[in-house]
Amino acid sequence: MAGNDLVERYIAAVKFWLPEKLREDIGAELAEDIRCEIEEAEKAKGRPLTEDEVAEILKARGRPMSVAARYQPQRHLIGPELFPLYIFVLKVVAVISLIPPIVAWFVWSFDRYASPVPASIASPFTGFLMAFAVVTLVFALIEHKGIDITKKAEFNPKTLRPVVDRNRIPRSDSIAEIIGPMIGIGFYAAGYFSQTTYHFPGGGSITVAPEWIGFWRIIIALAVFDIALGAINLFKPYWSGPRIVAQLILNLAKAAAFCWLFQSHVVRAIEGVPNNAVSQFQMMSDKLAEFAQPFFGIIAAIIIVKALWRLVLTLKPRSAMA
Amino acid sequence: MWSTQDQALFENLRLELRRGSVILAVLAALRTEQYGYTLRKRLEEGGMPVDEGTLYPLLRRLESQGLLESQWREEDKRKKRFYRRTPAGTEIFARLMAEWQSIGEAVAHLHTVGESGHGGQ
Repeated sequence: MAGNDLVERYIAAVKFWLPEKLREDIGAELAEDIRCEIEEAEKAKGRPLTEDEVAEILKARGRPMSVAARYQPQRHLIGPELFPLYIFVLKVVAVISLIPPIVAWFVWSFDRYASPVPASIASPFTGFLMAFAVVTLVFALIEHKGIDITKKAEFNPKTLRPVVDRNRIPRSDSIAEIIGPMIGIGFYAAGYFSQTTYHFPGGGSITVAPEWIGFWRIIIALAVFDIALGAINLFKPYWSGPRIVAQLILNLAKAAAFCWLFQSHVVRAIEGVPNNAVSQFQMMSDKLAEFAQPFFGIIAAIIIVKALWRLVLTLKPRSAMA
Repeated sequence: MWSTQDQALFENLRLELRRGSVILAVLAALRTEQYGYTLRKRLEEGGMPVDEGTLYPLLRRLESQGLLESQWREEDKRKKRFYRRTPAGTEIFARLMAEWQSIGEAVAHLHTVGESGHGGQ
């Protein structure tokens, strides 16, 4: 038979991928099956098959590794039961591993006195890769040891979390939106924010920038809108387009007011405290002034993204079950 | 005329449907003792072709489950592995056949009910 050598090589290649104890048995059966197929083809053609024709038969059977794989039980590093949890943990880890590089980038980019960013912190890729490897290893061990971390046996539907309507504004949020600004207004009415010098109970004083008074006037004006919006939300607790836009404008205005205040080098003078505390306060005030604009940029971006996300959720049609 | 996508979808669903039936077909065909190649031919002639990459691992699995037994014997001066159903295999096969018929009847009934408009929309 012209293709005998090919068949033997094919069988040897399949056997290579099989566990030791199955090799001879499966190899012999497979060889017999191939020989039967070749014999039948030769009978039909009335002549021995050429090497190319034998090669075609073997090609149709598939690669040796794939053939061998079919004889073995399905194996996986992380099985279908654990897989959704594994993906969830990876997503959380991906987000967490991105935070240190972002913070490092922020601090080191604006603080000219800081030392260079350590490579281990600066590279989000390295951090995530490490975390990915550790999470995968832990899940593979759990799978291998057969540990039931999903607690299937103890599952009780009554312990499931209630379904949350993402468009509903929690009552607690609305109440906080009303009470917080009211407290602020109370302090303002009592005159706490109408002065620029404050005395410490233990002696000494701090003098803040004149912008402090203007800042609080803006905040108190915005607080009135906050209370009005909170009251509407309390009685009609569902997000709507106009309410999202109103909340967006309010939040941006508050962030801009804080930015303006910080830029003014808010701490102007401190008296009656140790010199090192004075320099600490002064440094903090300078840092706030230096970082005010980029910080406002980030906060504004977060506020806008949050509002857009809320808008998408509000405009998205609700499912029939909701 | 079916699109390539429809054809591929049909092919996937057909394979899925056939997957469970292959076991029944193999158990049915092994009422009499056969070796791998003749079993393949018999399945093919019976309208249930099964490729060798599926058949041989399945035979091993059914054997390890005690539904089949096998024996290496010489025939035409060549060693061949012959398979046949065990008594347990015969019993399981009978139960599976009953289940198979009941599924067929249930699907046919559901289809008829759907066509005559009872309970359908």
